[in-house]
Amino acid sequence: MSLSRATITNIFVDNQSNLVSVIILLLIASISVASLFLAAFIWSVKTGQYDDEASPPVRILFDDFKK
Amino acid sequence: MQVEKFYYDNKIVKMFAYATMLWGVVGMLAGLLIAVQIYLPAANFNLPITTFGRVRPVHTNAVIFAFVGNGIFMGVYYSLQRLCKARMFSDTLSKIHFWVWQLIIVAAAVTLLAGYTSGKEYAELEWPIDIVITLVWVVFGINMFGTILKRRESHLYVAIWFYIATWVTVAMLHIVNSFEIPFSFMKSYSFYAGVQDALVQWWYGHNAVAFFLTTPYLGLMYYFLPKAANRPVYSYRLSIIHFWALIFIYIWAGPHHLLYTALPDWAQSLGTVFSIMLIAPSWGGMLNGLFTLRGAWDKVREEPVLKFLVVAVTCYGMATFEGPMLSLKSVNAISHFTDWTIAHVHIGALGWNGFMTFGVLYWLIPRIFNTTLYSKKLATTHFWIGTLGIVLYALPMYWAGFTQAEMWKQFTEEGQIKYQFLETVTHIIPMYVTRSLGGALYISGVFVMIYNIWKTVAQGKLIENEEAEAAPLPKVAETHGKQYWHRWIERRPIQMLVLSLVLVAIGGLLELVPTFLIKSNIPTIASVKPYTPLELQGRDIYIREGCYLCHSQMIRPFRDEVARYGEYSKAGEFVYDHPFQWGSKRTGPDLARIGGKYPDSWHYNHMSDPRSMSPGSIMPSYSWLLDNKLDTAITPAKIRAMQTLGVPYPEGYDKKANEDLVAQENLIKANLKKDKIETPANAEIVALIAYLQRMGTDIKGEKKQVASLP
Repeated sequence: MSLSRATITNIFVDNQSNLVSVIILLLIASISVASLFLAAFIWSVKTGQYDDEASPPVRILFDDFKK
Repeated sequence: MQVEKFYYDNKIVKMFAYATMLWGVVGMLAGLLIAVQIYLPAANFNLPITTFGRVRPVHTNAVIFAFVGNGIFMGVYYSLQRLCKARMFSDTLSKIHFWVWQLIIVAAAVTLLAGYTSGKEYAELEWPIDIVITLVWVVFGINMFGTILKRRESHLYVAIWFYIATWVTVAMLHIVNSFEIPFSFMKSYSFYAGVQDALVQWWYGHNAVAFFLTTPYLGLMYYFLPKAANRPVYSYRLSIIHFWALIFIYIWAGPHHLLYTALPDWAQSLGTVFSIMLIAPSWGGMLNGLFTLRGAWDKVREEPVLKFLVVAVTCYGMATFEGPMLSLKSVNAISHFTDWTIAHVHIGALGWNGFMTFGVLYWLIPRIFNTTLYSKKLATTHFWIGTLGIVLYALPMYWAGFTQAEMWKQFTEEGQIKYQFLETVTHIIPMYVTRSLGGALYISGVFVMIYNIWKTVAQGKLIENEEAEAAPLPKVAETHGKQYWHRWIERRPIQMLVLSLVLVAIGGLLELVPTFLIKSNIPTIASVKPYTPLELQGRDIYIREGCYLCHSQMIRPFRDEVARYGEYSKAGEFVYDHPFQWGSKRTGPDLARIGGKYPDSWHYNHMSDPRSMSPGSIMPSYSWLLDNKLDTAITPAKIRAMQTLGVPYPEGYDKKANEDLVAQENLIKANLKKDKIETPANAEIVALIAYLQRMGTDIKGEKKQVASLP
């Protein structure tokens, strides 16, 4: 079982294709989530979530806690 | 507008808070046990369930998913209700979420100690538990999004954004990384093999840190730090930038766990680049937290809650500075596989997660029990004990990591390796001892906290349903500025439906894609063959006993590693490894080319009593492998599962596999007999020896040809 030059090339080529296949899966997963976040971001900006940067940080400090 | 009256559910917050404390103690005690085992092998008690390889996953899983997990839910269930001005969506779902999560934790502890593990770090739980986790995560999601939907406050505070990102991403990570083919009720093989499995695992592993240990806790920081200081967050705009930049960059940084391995260079570089970029949003978040206290540092002197939060945020800053640095290849060459990694993660776990949790507990328990903290003095004592514990833990580990890495790389003038592996281990044992003292100190602080909280609870009374008032959300959301096509989507329920559809679509996609990919799992190097049935059985014992937690199977292309362990590892050698076993820590030496290095009898004696073969070794004894009988009834199922995964055993081999298995057993038995060792052929040790002797031999002895290639 000697390791020929051809086999070595195979190691390289096949591993690349093997790896690429799983990278496709990871890319699909990552990009899906990224686009979900992008959609959420666009939604948040367009619905005015960030129009007011002054009152939200202050508002959380008010408690409606009753004794 | 009519003001509505409603009630916050504090009971569920209390339950999660108690669970956080309970599992915190359990996880930390498990950690203390394994910390002692490292320098005192007798502390393994010579029992399978108390041995390092079984207890270590219990420690990591308990701390991450039980302690921090319940901490997340405690903080989310408290803050989300108040931020949304609404009670949790469903009390029933809250209860299901709580109890099933605790059930998962118990099942996890029991199965891990019993040796049922997938062999992938922080994703060790086997397939039935994986499914239950998915279900309970969906329950949590419905409960959370349901609450967001019926909120009375139209603005989603930045903390909520962090909670949403956590939920979405953890769901995806868990599903993708947990693809596995079951072959029995509690055992399965990873769907991916070798390099692929490593890449998916560390994509998961890194993002589990990002989206389970970081983003939810950042959400908690953005709520509880301003509340405790009673002043608004330093810059709300910075928090928005912090959030969006962080979630975008984090997801790509996983390959930095695989630097210098058989993973292709371009993927390694990509991971490094994104890891370096991560410092910007991470430090933006840290500074935003610390600057919130500007002009209020006098409060930190008085208030133990703030003390805890400040140290937590500072530790976050340290860990997120260190992370990018460790992702540089030149630094990683030194740090990887050493205790440096252990120091790094404990700055995060003890400092960031631990102290944040304690701060939140001290702040929240008196509030839901309508009282004040029993003793600020005790809380401050806890703070100082804990801080000292972190320092005593981390410093020796940094020292140990750096020292050992430098010793590994020393050569004599004659060009020989200067230190035997064992010498580099015994040299750092004083650091291991100090580390366990630091850990013990940290846990004693936790006991002080539990006493304090117990007394607080005793003097107060739980407000199970806390009354609150708020105006309902207007039917049409008020928007400022220009109005666009999105008017129609402004009713949130529809919007959420669309979002959930997208989510489901992703799920479907993820299930389909691998089915298409399965054909690509074809053999690559001609001389790399599938494991024989006995070797496969031996490999499963290797996984069961958690060998991968102390031994790597990945020789990096460095002079010292090649000189010490042999030819560096090639990607093509691992194509039949479901799961991969590269490891992340070398408490013991690398095993990638252990095959043929020692006679069978050496392994037999070494497993029975490691110190008889290498005096001073810290490895536990695995004497039960000498008596346990190998379960051969399962062999056909294992072969069939491997065939499904594309491992080219001949058709119908599952029925003949046990014949080959017995033949190989007898060979090893005869070999051992030559060295005057009598063993039954069907002992588990025989299978393990078969696997160890196979490891790395497929392309052994081909060094010169590989090296002479252009």
